Amino acid sequence: MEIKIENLRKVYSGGYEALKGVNLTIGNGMFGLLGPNGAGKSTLMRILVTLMDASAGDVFVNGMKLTDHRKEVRALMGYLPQDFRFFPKLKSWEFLDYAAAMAGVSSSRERQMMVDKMLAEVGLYEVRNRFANKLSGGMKRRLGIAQALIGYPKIIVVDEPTTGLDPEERIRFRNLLSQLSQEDVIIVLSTHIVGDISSSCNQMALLNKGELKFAGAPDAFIRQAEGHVWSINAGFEEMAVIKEKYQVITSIPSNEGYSLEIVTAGSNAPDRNDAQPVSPNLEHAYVYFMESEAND
Amino acid sequence: MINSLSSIRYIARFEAKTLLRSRLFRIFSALAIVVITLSNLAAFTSIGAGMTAYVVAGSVPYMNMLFLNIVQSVITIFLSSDFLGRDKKLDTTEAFYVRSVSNFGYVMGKTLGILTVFFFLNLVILLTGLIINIVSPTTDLVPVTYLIYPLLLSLPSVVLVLGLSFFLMTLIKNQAVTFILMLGLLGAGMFYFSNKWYNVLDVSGFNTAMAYSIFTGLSGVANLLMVRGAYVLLGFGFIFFTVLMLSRLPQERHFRTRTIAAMLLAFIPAIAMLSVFVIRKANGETLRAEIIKLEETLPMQPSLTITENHLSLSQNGNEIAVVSQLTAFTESSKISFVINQGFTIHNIKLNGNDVSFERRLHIVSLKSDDAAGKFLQIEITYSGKPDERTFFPEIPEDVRLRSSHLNMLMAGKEISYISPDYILLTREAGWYPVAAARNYRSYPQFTRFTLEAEVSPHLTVFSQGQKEAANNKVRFTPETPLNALSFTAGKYETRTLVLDSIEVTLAVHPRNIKFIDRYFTEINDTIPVLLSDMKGDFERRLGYTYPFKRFSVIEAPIHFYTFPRNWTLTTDDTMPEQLLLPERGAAEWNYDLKMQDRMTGWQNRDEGELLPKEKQARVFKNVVGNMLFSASQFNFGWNERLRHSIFPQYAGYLSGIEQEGFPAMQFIIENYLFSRVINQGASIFNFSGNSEQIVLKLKNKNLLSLLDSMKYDSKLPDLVSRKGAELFRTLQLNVEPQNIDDVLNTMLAKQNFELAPVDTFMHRLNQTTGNALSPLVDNWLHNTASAAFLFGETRASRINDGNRERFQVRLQAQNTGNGDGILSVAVREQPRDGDHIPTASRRNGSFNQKEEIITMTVDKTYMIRAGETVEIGIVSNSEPRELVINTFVAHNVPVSQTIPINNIGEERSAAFEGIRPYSGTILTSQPYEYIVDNEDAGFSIINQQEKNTLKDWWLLHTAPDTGDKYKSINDWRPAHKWEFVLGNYYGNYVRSMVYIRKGNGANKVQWKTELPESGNYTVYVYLPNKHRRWNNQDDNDHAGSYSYTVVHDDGEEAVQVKVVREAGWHALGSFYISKGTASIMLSDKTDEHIVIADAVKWVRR
Repeated sequence: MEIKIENLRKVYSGGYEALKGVNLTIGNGMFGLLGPNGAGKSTLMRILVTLMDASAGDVFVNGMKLTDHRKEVRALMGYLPQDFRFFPKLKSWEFLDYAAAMAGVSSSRERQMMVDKMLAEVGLYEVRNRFANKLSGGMKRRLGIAQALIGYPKIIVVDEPTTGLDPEERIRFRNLLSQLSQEDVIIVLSTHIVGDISSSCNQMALLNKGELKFAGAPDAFIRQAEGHVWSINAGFEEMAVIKEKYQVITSIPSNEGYSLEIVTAGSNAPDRNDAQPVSPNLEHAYVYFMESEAND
Repeated sequence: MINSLSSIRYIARFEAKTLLRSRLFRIFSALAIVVITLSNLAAFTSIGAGMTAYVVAGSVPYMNMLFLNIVQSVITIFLSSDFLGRDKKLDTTEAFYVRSVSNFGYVMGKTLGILTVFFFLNLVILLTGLIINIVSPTTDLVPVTYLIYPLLLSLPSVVLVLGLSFFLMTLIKNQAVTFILMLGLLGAGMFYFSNKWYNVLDVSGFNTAMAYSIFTGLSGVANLLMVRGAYVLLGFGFIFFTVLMLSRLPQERHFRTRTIAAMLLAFIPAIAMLSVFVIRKANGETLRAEIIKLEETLPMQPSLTITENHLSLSQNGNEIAVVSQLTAFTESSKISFVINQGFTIHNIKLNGNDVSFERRLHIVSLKSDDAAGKFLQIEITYSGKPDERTFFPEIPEDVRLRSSHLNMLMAGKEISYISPDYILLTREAGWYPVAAARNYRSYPQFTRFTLEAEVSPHLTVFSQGQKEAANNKVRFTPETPLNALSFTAGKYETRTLVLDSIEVTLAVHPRNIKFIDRYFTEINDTIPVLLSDMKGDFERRLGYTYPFKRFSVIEAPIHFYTFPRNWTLTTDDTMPEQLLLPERGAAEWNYDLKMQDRMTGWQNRDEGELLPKEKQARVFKNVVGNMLFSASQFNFGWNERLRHSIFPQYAGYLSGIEQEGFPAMQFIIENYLFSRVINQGASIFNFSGNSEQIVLKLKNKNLLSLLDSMKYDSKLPDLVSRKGAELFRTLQLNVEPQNIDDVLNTMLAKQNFELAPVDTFMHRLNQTTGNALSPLVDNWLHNTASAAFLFGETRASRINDGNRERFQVRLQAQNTGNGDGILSVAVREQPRDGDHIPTASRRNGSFNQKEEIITMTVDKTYMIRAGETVEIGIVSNSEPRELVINTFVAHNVPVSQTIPINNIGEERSAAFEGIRPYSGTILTSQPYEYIVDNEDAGFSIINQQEKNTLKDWWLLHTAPDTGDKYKSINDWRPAHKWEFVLGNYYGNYVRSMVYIRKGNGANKVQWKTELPESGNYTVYVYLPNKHRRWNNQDDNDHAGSYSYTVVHDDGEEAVQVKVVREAGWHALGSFYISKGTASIMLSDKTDEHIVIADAVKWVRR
């Protein structure tokens, strides 16, 4: 599976340019799309799942031009929209059954097995006979994930999938996705929860203001932040000054003051004696990236 | 990837599931099921009060589908706008939008889902109806109707409403607006557009004739299929439009082209079908106009007199083949006759030789130079079926379009039938040749007919005359010449009895005989006696006996409908010796056996339980009496009252009087003869709403000119009958009444079965009346002057007439008009002590009801010459309550008025009966009184706010504007602007008032007068008898008041006047008013339901 995005632009009717010529190739496995709000993540995803046309540029799926092969591409697709809350008056299992049928599973026996399995996997088997609109917020989210995954889609696009999930559910969800990503499947995951990507994605991209700022392996992205993350201790009275000077990632209060992790935009170490370099993680890298973008 | 059919199926299944679970759908469906079940129980079983339309075959599924149509339209509108609305805002939908389904498949799946659910709802409703249909012994179960109505009524409505609301929702993108627009469209289709554009916009089917006849099925199947089919196509067209506009990226190749193509494939044939339907209807209109035009070019008198017509008819599927052998006398060399243009004429032989002929529409002409003045043998061979568009060409199109309602259901208006299983041909079908002339329809010639018919052997045939069967053929030989011949063939079961040597036959569809038999199990032996009694009573009043040897009541299809004509009381519903009665009495209340059976039980409950035999006899007398021997005017309105009466057998089919132009004389005689059988008392009241309009029309015009200008006006019969009544009353003043009747009877007997020229008729009449008639008739036709009566005081007193106490009533009257005039007066008397008045007998209009206990003296007619003032004296036996005066065609309206008699004095003078000159003058007011009535120049409507609400606007736009100044009080929807009403109100010549529904005070009227001198005046207003609402509600307990404003020298004074029951003047108070203009105002502010403005007066103190 391969998705190739070429010079993709999207200008909304109001003149707002959401995508400014994005070039990107997505291969098998899990692909994380990172970016602040308004970066163009949702626009890119909606174009990918054929809900929207681009203003210019092309998307190719396995070499098929998306605009000419919607039928074929849709047959490969599973999609979880961002705001997935309002269900028709169907029971949980019926909803999945409908999704499976629409995904092309025509044998009802096969569908039934598939639905039961999926319900178990997302932990909704107990509530399979409950109406979908009567489920709790987290359950609804899981049902949404289930409907995107059912029917063996080859391309799974999930928009902010873990919002509203508790940590346990989030881990279960990540495992579910990484299981799938072993196969010949592309999973595109848009998120602002960096942890979702660091724990499961083998590729990632970063969008900001409609432009692609980074594409590659998460490790490469993290490496960019090396030497820019420090740990320092600061007294209570210093906090205001530090906050003004640096981007503070974590602050753990102690008796004397705070133990802080900060990101520096420039290449210089912070002007403090107790500054210890920290080996950056994805979250640090993201903050560093956003900080340096802001200073540009 | 799944194939599109299965994806449609999946989407449909899940859509159906969600729909079934939606609260809206459940509530509405449950409501529909409950309401429809209850109304079924009420309409079709003995539980409820009943609905006479139960007699229509298939009435159960028909009514249920009609009801359901409303409910499911509302659900559909809501759902479809909801479905698109939901799709727009919910991400759930997007999860499915990315699935590999075509946009077409997606929308079709949704559509199919909705339709599937409705299919089941229809099924439930149909099954509920079916159970009731099976259980109820008086409804007929016709299995095919359980297929017809869902397919023809329910399906097209749902598909169109669904498509249209999809369409609107896609365009407007607002659920609420779509919902309101769609409901508006639906309502407009039912009410506003009803009978407009041939009902082509009647989506819900309420104004479309879809009743099912067990003889002939649906009426106008081709038209129905065309219109209802077009709705289905239109619906799908709109659905395809929705596919096109769906806010989802398409995945089909050539999506736009293909979808637009599909849309056009639906829209083009749909529009074509609707256009064909409308154009055909419009062509019919043009064709009828051409027929009228052509007939007007024909000579007034026919040159051909057809004395004999030997017809031989054979059926060939949907056509008949006829050979007509005529013996005819011609006065000219040009021979013209009429045969309906639907028939193809193959050949015409004149005295055995083929001749060429010309044909223009229905007129066939041929020339034979040496034929003039000779008897000819003409043989015409033709075949085909009559063109239904050509019938009754003179009937205005709005009358033609008016629906033929059977309660809620609707039947068609069909006049003739030729199908393998059923044939019905009446005179109007033009199925046999008649002589052509301008008025050939109004003066049908009397011809000696014979008819030989060969139809499929399982059909029973009916025509006029002695019937003989021989060699697969049936031969009819009428004993006398006839002016109409009919032919009926169908599946019939007959019952025959002989009554006074007349063969009486009842022929009904074999399925229907059981619905009649069940009500008359006990009275088989009694029926001849009952019939004989009714016939005897009728003939005693009429003065002569039934002229034919047989009489048959033949059941006709429910759609059979013939129009009343302006020149006769006879319709094609009766033919000589026959009554053609639509299936099971056409849902006519009076003929409804079940209802009559029950009514009879109720009406006689105070007499205790009736014996079954007695009860059945009463039902029989009620139904047959109402149908055949009805002597009431109230059954169907003026023109309709004789639709099924036996009367035409004694008149229209017995003789005719031929005159140039409008057949006034013939119609007047017919009316006069009918007035003989009308109940005494009924004749003096005239409830025909047109009387006043007629009187107003007659002002300064003579009858002849009106006859010409109102030729096709539906009010013409009223004009002729009113003027006819005037003529006969005048005649009776000159010749003894008994004499007139004798003369007429003798005359009519002389011309039985013949068409007499009017001159011959007048000559004969003149001879017997000493030439009294001609000048009267002349004057009556040409005179433009008319009388206007002013009535003075009415006085009543007790007189002693021997040992008896009697009552003297005197009435002063002055004729202030420019012509002589007649009026008739009767006294309504108080019931004597101890007279019991059962409620049921108060109802007028039904045959065989008990006599009114409130008695009335026989009305007497008086002539008052122009300018004369007279006193009229009447002596009554009981205490007089009021005078009932009929002013015929004088300027007074309403034509019938009552004057209450309040005080009865003592008098010693001798009783006076009759009319004598009166030397005094009749004063309408005293010298010191200034009266302004609402008809006077001083009265004005000073504020007419017509539109307050949307409802007002709606009423204003939907109320038919008849162009008449005077309306009647509408209790359900009182006028929203001041309207004139005639009645027992204040007025000298025109007794009217002005009324409006209660309001906020914004609508006002004003009375103004010029007072010649300053001074103290007492101001009065005249309040007529309190208007009783239909239900007598708030009549006694509640009395509201009216708000008057009196303008006087110190300003204005608001005065409230309580509305009381009895008419009279009410003082508003005394005011000092200076010389000059004085005025009084009345506003619509009241706590009554209406405000009435009549007259006011200022009385100088």
